[in-house]
Amino acid sequence: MTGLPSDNALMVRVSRGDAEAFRALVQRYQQRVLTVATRFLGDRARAEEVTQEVFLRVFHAAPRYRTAANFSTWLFTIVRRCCFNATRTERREAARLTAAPATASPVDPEQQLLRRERRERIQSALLELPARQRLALVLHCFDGLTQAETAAVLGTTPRGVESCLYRAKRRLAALLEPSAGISAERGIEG
Amino acid sequence: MKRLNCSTVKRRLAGGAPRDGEIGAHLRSCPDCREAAAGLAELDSTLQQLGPVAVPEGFTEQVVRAAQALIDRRPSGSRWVSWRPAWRVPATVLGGLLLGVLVGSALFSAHPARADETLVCRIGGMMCHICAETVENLILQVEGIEAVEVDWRKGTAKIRLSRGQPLRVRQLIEALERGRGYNLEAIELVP
Repeated sequence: MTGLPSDNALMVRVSRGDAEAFRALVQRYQQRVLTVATRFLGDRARAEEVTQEVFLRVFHAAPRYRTAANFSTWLFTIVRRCCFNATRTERREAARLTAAPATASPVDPEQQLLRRERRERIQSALLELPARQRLALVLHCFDGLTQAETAAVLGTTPRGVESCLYRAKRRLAALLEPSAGISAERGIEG
Repeated sequence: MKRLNCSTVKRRLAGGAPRDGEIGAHLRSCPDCREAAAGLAELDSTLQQLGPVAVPEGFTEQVVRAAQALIDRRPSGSRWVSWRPAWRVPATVLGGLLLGVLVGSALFSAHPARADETLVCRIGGMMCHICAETVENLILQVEGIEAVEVDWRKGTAKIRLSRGQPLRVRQLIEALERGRGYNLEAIELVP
């Protein structure tokens, strides 16, 4: 047993003004939040701002947090609000991507360029999706939330998430097919 | 037992359903859905190429410092002190006293309002834009309130009532209490 404190235990400490507990929560979740925000917004700098805003809201709401809740679902509900607010306040000019992979491995420059181009194409295609579909896809596929958890974050039912993901993937396959060699569209078409 | 149709299978596969049981049975007998399943697997692996985003060095400390700054920006004289538990009780008591002195017993009944009346409430405990948003959402839960404009720097909430609706003061107090740390200090009518 490593004895790591649970999220709820940390939140109780945060609500009492424990900065170390807050730091531990940020460290535990910052990469997941930053990844979701970056994939959703397609803008690394904006995603960092949103991630900071999310944690400030967590900090701020700590005295009102109910420990009966599932912390990660609650956290990603805040992520959803902040991401939607960010898209409302700032219209996207163009698909931008500056995100670096988590681990950089030494590969030949040509391959690196190809991989980067491919990532940019995927990210641009993601940005073409309606906000709700995009967030469902990002939470489910990148963050690994279950259908029920994604439903709780989006304020819908697991069945609603399923339909959302279906439409998102169908659209994404159509967007990626000409450039990325994805053959899913024909198959996924209902 | 009702058999699954192709659109249900495709929808469930897109939602990440496992390819066993009745879905597996359907896939074995349906080439179209097998093709869809292969396409979805390819799409999922394409998406995985994006991978997680690396957190920049010093990001955690930046967030912790920003949180600290949020507390430091607290306006002087603010009674929102729930971050420091030792102050919470005096703040609540003080808030209650102020409420009693400034607003009086009339608060606890529905305040009669003229059509399109605007009121300004002094709200204790706000210290940042997140507080303003929280208070706004809490106030909008009160029946009969059409719009609200919160200014956390001034510690006020400008409330517009729906036509012919009274201000339900008890509901307003209870709504603010749900926010833990906010309290109604005074109400004034705007001519």
